[in-house]
Amino acid sequence: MSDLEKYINRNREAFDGANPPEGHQERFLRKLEKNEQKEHHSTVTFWRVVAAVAVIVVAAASLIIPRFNHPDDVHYGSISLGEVSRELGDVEFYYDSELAKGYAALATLSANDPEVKSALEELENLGKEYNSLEKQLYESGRHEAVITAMIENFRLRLELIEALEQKKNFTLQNDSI
Amino acid sequence: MAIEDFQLLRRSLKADHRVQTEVYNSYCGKVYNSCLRILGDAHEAEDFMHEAFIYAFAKIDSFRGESALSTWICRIAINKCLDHLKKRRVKLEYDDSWEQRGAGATTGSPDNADYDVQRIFKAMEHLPEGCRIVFSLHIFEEMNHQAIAAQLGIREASSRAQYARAKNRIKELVNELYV
Repeated sequence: MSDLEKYINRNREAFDGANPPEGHQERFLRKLEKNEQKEHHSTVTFWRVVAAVAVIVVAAASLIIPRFNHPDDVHYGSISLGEVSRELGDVEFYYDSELAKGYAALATLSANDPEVKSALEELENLGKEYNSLEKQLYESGRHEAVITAMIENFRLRLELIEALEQKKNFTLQNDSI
Repeated sequence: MAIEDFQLLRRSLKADHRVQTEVYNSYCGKVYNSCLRILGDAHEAEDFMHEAFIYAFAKIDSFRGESALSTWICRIAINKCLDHLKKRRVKLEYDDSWEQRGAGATTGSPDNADYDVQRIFKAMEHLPEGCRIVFSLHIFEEMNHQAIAAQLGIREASSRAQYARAKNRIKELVNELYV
C-alpha cells in the first residue's frame, strides 16, 4: 500500500468533509413532497383506470352475454316436426306457409273487432300450445301421439282463420304453394 | 437490530416525514461526498444525493438490512451517478494522450509527497474524468476492480491501470501544485 493510500485510509472522515450547498434540506423536502404527490396521483390514476376498465368489461358483458342467451337463440330441449322426418317437415312447411298467409290477412282487419280480437287470442293460445308440444315431442322421444297433436294444432289454427274468413268475407291470398 | 425495530424503520421510512428527515440529516454528508467525488460538480452531486434518498425511501421494502442503511443509500447514489455518466458518454477508458502529456510517466514515483486533504482533492480535479472516477470508486467507495469494471463497462485491467496512473499523477500534482 502506498503512502497516498495509507494517508487516505487514516483520514477517511476528512475526505467526507464537503458540505452540500446551502438550502439542500429544504430543496430535498420539497422534492420529497412533490414525489409523494406524484406517486399518490399515479396510484389514484391507476385505480381510476382499473375502475374504468371494470365498468367497460361489465357493460360489454351485460350486452354480449344476454345476446348469447337470448330466448330466440336457445332451444330449451325442443324439436320441430322437420327434425323428426322429411315427410313431417313437408307437413310443417305446408301449415307454416298457410298460417303465414292467414296471419297476414288477419293483420288487415281491425283488431278492435270483437270477433277478430277473440280469434287472435285463440290463435295466440294455440301458438303457445304448439311450442309446448314441441318440448313434449323432445321429452317423449318423438312420441306419435304428440306428433298427431301438433298436426291437429296446425289444423285448428288454419280452421279458425278460415272460419273468420267466411264471417268477415275476406279472401286468403291463395297463391300457389 | 431486532426484527421489530427493522420493520418499524422500514414502515417509518416509507411514509413518516420526521423519520425521513432524520435519516437524511444523518447520512446526507456521506452520500453527498460520494456523489461529489464521482461527478465533480456540487450541484449535480446535490441532485443525485436527493434522488438517491427519494428512491431509497420509496424502495425501502427492498432493503434487507444486510449492510448499514447509510451504505445502502450510498450504493444507490453511486449507481445513479454512474448511470448518469454513462448516459453522458463520459470517456471511461484510459486515455493514451493523457499519458503522453506526462501523467504516469514517473511510475514508481517516491512516496515523499506532503499530503493533505485539500491538496489531494485539488490534484484529483486535474485527473481525466474516467481516471478520477476509477480512483474514487476504488479508494473511497472500496469497490474492487472487478466490480468497477462491471459497473463502468470497461476491462478489469483498464480499471487497475487507471487507478495506478491516478495514484502516480496525484503524487506528482500534490508536489507541483504547492511548490
